[in-house]
Amino acid sequence: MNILLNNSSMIPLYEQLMDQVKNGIIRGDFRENDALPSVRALSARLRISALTVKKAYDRLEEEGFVVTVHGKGTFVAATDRELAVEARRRAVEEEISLAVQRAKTAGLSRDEVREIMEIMLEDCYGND
Amino acid sequence: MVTIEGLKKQYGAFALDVSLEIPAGRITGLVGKNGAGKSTVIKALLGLIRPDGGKVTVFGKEAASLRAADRLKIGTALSNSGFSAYLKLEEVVRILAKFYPDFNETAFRRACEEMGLPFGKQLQHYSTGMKAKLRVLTALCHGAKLLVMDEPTTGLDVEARGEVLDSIRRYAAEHEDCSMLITSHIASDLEGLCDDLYLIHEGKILLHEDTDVLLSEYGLLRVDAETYARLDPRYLLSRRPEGNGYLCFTDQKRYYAENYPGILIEKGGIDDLILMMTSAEGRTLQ
Amino acid sequence: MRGLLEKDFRLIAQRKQTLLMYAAIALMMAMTMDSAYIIGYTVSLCVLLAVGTVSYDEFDNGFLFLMTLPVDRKTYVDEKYLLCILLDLAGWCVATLIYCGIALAQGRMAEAAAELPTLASMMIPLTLGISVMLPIQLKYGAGKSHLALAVLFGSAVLVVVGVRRLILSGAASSLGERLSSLSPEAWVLALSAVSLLVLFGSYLWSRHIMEEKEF
Repeated sequence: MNILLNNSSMIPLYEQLMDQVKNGIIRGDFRENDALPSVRALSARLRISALTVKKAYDRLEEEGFVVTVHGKGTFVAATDRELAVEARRRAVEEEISLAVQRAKTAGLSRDEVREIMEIMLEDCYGND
Repeated sequence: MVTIEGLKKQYGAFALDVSLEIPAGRITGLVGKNGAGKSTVIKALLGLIRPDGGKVTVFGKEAASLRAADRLKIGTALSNSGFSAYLKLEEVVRILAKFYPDFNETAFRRACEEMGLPFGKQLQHYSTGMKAKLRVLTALCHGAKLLVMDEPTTGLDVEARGEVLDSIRRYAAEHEDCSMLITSHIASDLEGLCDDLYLIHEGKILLHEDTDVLLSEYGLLRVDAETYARLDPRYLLSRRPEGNGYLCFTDQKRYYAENYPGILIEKGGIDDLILMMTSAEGRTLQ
Repeated sequence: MRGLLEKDFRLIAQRKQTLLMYAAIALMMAMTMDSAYIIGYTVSLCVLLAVGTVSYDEFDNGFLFLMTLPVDRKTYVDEKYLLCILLDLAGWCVATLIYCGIALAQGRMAEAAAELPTLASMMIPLTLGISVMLPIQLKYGAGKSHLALAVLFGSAVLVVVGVRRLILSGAASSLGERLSSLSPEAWVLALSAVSLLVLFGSYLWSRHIMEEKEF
């Protein structure tokens, strides 16, 4: 598993870690029942605190991506990949809708919101 | 694993008053400037000094009544003390083998070789860095359940610091249930290692927080005087005048990021934390 | 205990120069002086080496780390007394063997054998020496213990002088007569018993000092 964390990002480390594990699962790098590295092992490898890794594993478990068997370790759950992709899409939609609602209450016009979105997309995806 | 409740110790004008807890399987950092009281906490935890008040328990036992059998389960690296400087590493190996039934000689020798510690040289001829490495390796050599390390990286250059920290991390990964207490005044060393951090200053604990919360929620706001005037002060922990504005320390950097678009926010490293929370000007908001 | 002994023997072995010098002086003594001196000399040296290990432990904040090793404070004291007694006895045995060897070579074996009880009685002042030096070394450390020992020996001299005056003044003359009527063997036995008692008292005192000590 190739995980790269950005220490200077505003996104908390555990969220970055969750995202990358999810990506791995969705891409099919991990299969069902594959063991994830132990909390301390991954923490040593990534040079982040074990509690950060544990937090990421706990959240992943809540979202149904992994299962932790006490004393044995953490394993990739029987996830339906389609469903996982769908779930992520829904999460993104929720956050965007939140932002759009806030834009509306702030009195921004439809075009202004679109403009903001364009700028952000350009920043993020590059100009293509 | 370790509980310290209202530990008090007086040395002249210096008064220590500390409570902290290290649950099983936790790596806890104790950060603070030199002379803040870190070593005193460590000495009390190891039963080397008698507290004037409060209670220190290790493995559920009062620290003062720790026996040799309990100490077998503790690995210690102290900043200013170790084996006699007249001994050679080869002799230290023999002595450790007599002290610890679980001493892993092969692993210890290999680790010493990897770190470039010569076996035939008296410890008094070791460099500062070599001594520090040996102290850490000694703490890690016998499968301890509790590691207590006072300033394990002091006096090391960047590369050696990395090596030492990696060996501690490797130990943690191989001993999932072991707990650690690590002190440092170069706190960035502890960012990638400790689960939680206590900040100690002038004998008192100023702050206790999980490391990842510290890294993700705490931050530095760099603002001019005008922006500062309209800044919501609720989540500011301290501020310091800087140029024609202020440097402010917050535990809710996202709140300011969302509500003051364009505000300059820096990620709060743990060294910033020490600086902002302990300097005289920095504490004006407390 | 095993770890501490291992450490102390290795530390003593460090003092090669002292040991070599000892051998040279002992050889000279054996050739030029009454060979009984060898015994007193060897045993005192052994005791000094053993007590000296405390200074090694103390040097450079060493105690701090030593007490984090799997060692009880009581074990530490036990080990120091054991080490002193072991070295004391070993020194005596080696020196007596040398002494007898020389006597044998000179053809005065019978004479030497008759002297053995006297030689054994040399252990008494050395046992007393251990009893005084160890606790003082533990309590005051290498630096201050020299001063403490000087004060102690000074006061011992004063006590002896005082007692002598008392005896001379006749106040204790009846006691003095009774004491001098004891046979030399009885004297040696009585003094041995006293020195063992003092040693035990000193051990208890050292235990107390270590329990109270902060590092």
